[in-house]
Amino acid sequence: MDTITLALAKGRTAEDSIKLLEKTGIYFDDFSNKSRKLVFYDNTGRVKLIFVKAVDVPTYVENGAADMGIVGKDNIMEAEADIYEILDLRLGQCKFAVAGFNDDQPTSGNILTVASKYPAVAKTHFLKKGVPVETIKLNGSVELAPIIGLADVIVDIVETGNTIKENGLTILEELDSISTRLIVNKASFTTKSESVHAFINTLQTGLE
Amino acid sequence: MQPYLAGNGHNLRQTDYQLQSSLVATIKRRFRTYGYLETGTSTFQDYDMYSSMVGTVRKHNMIKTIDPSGDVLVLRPDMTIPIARRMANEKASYRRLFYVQDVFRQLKDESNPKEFTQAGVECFGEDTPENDAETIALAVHVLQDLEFDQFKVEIGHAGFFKDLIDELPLSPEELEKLQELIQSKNLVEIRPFLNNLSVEESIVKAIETIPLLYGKPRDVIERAAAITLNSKMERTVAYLQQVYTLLKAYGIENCVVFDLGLINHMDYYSGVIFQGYITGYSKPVLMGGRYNDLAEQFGAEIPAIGFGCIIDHLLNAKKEAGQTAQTEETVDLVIYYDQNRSSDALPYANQLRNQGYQVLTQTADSTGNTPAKFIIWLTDEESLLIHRQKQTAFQNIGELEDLLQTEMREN
Repeated sequence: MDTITLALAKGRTAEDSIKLLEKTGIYFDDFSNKSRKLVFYDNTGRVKLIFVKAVDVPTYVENGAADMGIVGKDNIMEAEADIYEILDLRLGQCKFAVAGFNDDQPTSGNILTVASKYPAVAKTHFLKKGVPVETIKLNGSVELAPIIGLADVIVDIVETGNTIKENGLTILEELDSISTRLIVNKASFTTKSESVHAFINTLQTGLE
Repeated sequence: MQPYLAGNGHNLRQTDYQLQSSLVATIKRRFRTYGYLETGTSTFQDYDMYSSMVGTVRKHNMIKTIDPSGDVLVLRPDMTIPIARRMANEKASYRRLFYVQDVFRQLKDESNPKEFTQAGVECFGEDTPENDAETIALAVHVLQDLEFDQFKVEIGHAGFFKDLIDELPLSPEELEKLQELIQSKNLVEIRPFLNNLSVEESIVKAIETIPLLYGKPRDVIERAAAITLNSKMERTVAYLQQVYTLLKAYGIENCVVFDLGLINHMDYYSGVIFQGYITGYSKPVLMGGRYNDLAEQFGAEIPAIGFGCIIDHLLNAKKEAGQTAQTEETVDLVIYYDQNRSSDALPYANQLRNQGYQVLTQTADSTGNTPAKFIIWLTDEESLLIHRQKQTAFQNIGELEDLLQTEMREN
């Protein structure tokens, strides 16, 4: 069978995913948290693991640099990549939400400005509601934007809602639920079907 | 040097053109053997025609220009529609046509190429499983001709999904979302999405199965038969069975897989749809399907099927597989001559060219140094043919031709 390349998002997803893979009998003995290596093979040599930044996982998979990837739905939605999204690994469950000051709706005539790490997701959401928005892309500390006056509201992922509350913001609207997914390159799904399908099935049994 | 912005066109290197033209020549030859005749369309097309047609190229994907009278034109975003329109205008009902032309599309990322060479066929006037199987067989044949080790043609049916959701009162937005979920085989979200719309359980079950209807044809047909909800779907399954039997007769059942979750964003497909993938290349290299209702939009009823290969993708796949063209960097002959022998050298060159040799002429004192299989010296004293360090003198063009032929035979 062909070797398959699996792209993993660095950090917590990676550790959880590797635990899940070990449950299904795919072991990465030379993997350790502290290692700075970016490429690992499993003990059978059938799975090649590559570590990339979470936002890049859909890009690697869409372009076929990896056959499959494990990454959060948030990054999949933002990338708008043309890929198969096969399994929900039920890790890292949270939600997209719109947050801001409760009473501070923009006065009519002013376009709503939205700050987010996920400008595409934010834009699509407001477009669907028919609300024209301006998006501002930020890479962190998004909660600061309404406080400083950079934006009216933010769109961000929320797990407990504590960060939002502590910064004096409220959740105005809850959007899509998010969890970690297994994504597959469309060409690999067809041309490497044997090994790709075997991997999907193993993972599926591990989830049950 | 002028810094010039590249990256929006084909972005080919010089040697790629040799490879491209050899690919195109192979493909054209194969198309002709199935009885197809070459056709073409204008680069400029009517924007209104494209924008008024449902389910074709998206407006924002088209590249628009404005002519002096203020009319909006688009650079040919696809081949099938103008060809189908011409069929309708000329009241033709049966034709087999092929083309190799560029199509232009603006994709989501600005820096993506906007120009693709497409080579494809359109077969008008037939509507049978035999015709479908033959067209798929032609697609397979082309990929075999191009000497790709491993490839797969994925076959689906546009009608299967359409007949299933026919029974659902979905808004266009909901339909688009559902198609998106099926297209990405997103099993996680299909059920919650449909439950939200309070869809009947039997239909939810069937829709949920669609993304899984993938794999060996016989297997898929069996599983598809189990979820049919109406006679139309039953007919589709029976039809696919017929196509599969024919594909076996062509001996290509190992090159195809069935995928009933395959949905093309070109909404005009009405029957069998398919796309070809090459192992190790991440994008489909060919796409096509049956579009019996397209000509209707131009007031004619002509069943049709066709597919197009994207030459740029085939080229990249070739290069990634490490197969490159044998580029001829040497010519057959270089004639070096003294100024006063030009009245011999130039007619010699012409005569040899007429016989198909590649010939360069250079004056004896020139610094040019083109590698050649044969070198000819025409000086005041003598006429010499040099080949593999062997020098042979000759008197006239007749002797030279004989010498060349002997040498060619010996090698």
